[in-house]
Amino acid sequence: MQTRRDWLKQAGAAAAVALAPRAAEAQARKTTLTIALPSTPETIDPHQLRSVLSGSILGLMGEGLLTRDPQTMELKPLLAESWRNVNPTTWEVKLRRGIKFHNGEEFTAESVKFTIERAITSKLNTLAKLTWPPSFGQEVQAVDPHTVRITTRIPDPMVPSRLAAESLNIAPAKGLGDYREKFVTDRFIGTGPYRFVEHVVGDRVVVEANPAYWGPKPPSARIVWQVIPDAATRVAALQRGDIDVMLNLPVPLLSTVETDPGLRVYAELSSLTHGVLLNTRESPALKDRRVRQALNLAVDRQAIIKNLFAGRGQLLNTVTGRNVMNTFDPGPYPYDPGRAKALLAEAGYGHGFDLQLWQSIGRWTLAEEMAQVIAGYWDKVGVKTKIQLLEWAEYNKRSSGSQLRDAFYYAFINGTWDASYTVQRFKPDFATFRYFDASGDLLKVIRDYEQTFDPKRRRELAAQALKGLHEEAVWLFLWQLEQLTGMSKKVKGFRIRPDDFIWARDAYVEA
Amino acid sequence: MALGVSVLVFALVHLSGDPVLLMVSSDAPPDVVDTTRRALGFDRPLYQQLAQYLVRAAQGDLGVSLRSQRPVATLIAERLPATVELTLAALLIAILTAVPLGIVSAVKRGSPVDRLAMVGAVAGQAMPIFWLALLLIALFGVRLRWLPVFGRGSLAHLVLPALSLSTIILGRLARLVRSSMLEVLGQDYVRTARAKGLAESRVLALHALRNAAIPIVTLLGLQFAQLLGGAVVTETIFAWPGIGRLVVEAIFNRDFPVVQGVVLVVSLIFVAVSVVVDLAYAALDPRLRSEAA
Repeated sequence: MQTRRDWLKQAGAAAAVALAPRAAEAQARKTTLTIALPSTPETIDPHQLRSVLSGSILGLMGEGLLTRDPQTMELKPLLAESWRNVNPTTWEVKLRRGIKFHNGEEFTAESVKFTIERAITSKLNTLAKLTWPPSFGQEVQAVDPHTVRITTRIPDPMVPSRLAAESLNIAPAKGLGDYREKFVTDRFIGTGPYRFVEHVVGDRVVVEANPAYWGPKPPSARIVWQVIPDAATRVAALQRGDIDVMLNLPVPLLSTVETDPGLRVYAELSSLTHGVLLNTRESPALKDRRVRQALNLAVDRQAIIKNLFAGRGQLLNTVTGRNVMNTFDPGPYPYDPGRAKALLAEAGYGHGFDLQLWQSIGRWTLAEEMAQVIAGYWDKVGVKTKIQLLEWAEYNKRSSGSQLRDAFYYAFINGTWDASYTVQRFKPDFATFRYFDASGDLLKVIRDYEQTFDPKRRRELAAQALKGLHEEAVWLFLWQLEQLTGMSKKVKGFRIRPDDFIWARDAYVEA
Repeated sequence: MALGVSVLVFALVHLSGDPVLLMVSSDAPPDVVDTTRRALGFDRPLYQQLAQYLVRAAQGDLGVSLRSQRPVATLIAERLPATVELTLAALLIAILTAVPLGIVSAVKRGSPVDRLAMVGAVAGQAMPIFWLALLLIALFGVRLRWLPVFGRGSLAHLVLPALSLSTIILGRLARLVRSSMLEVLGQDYVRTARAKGLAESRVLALHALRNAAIPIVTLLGLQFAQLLGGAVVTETIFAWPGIGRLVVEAIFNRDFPVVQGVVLVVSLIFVAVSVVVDLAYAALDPRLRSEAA
């Protein structure tokens, strides 16, 4: 005879069986993914962001019309369904239907118009104005609720790239209607897979899964971006399991993470292109191409990467990174101090000359050490190098204002992920960082490249331009370094895109 | 004093460089830089900017952060409790450790206990706070896993930062307690108290320590500023969300309104602490009370 107790046991077992798969699924993942970052994201306004870091955080909650593949950087539709170039100054974008913002508002052509106007033509100081300067004369027309036409005054083949930039998060026209001319500090309304929970300035940003997301279900229930300024503390927190991912792992702490059985190091080549810019407009010796080539031949860059950065970097042989669109590698200037000396003698500097090398304090890892090593190599071929150090704000002012002579260190991002972003800097009418003015055929190639739409022709022109700039030895070409991240082995789906954008939308932690 | 500090800070931060160049991206064209400068009012003469700042500060309006666009007063209000909690905890740890240590050292002068305590005090004073903090993290956080290593929340979160910060004043305080006690213990009234047959604990607590307290309280008042300074390092290492970190980030980003606001608030706190120290004198020494009357 079945007692009441037996019956209860059976019912309990049945319930356990019924619930088991769901419980297992819930147990398989930790509810919260915590990512520690070294500095405070400056904003939660969709268009006020200034850094890739902020862009990455906001990119979980907001979305652009286009995006880039996290591995290949290929352009892909996101809120757009498709786009086409109608004529050199007109682009048409078809929008996805049935998408709602976090506040319930529908995503339409009005949202796109509002966003581009707020980010580019308003008086707000936005990043979009740099990635897509208002001088292009952008205008947006809503053809119907799901089609927009974007016109520019001058032909702009880069429009799709610009629409994929994180500086153009699509914002709701009604929800942020009062914020056309001012920044938002207390909420984020986007269409993304995660919703805004809180932003404690200087401490953390918290987002949670958006159950109504139009795309694949977000893999983590919650993501916390926790500010921990000190790298050693970030590593300690990672070892304890208090955080799951730590950004900016410095080389000296690599082995701590590598030797911990629960952790791993994730390395991705950063898009920052490092070089020493040479002032060919004012420094007499540097006007001579042979001297500039000699400066390149005199430095053993491979040895510096190996000894200073634990081998975690790759040589750069021109002014654009190895992975951007339309890049081209003209091959290295080999380490050849004998040839360097010969070239210097040929140029009339056989007895050397004095040169000032500028470096900024507190901006780049091992900045002073790098300057000292480079100066050491140059000294060896007779170029008496004096190092000058400056605090970052002043350094940036003088370097971008084309005021530094003779040589200075810099690392450039690539805002449009196309070689044209850096190549255009060598036009004599470019506003900042004017240290070498392209002329003749090289200038013509650069100008043609900027306005050419045909992909094949663009590639050819880019290669010609990059080869020309390599031969002119406009910089001491240096390297791209790996971006190092420490993480728990249980973290899955976390990526850093080649342009340094942190791709956390597919990331989760196994329980 | 607050006015003087405000003017001084205003002058210093404006001498330190142009915030606009840090706000716009490094390759911004000059017209973007100019527009930004105008939008923020940095194109106006300095005296006008100062006058406007002072008038608003008097009304409790410390301006808006250039970086986060949030009111400076709100930012400070959010962060101040964390710093106050940390400094008070550090102060408490320092007092609870240094006072007994100093008394024991004074009473057992020359003994191994005294020597050990004083070597410890000097070592504590000499140790850089960031180094000690990292050692504490490695031991209690990573190896033993007893305590969390970053952030604010539970009492456990407070232990390591407060312990690190307390060492800034602990050593000096212990040495001062010892020397003050030694001085007082040699006084006639202590001998009288002992001669009356009072218990040694009563002699020490009521007769000696109370008389030795004036220089100790003075030191605590003076060292409070150092604690706030030390909080900058401690808050950075332990990711403690206080005003120390707020001001460091603001300085790096040339966020003038935040720097000015924090310095103003900290100087007001310092003034308040000085007043409390003065009042404590009167409470501790009846002679001062009668003089005042």
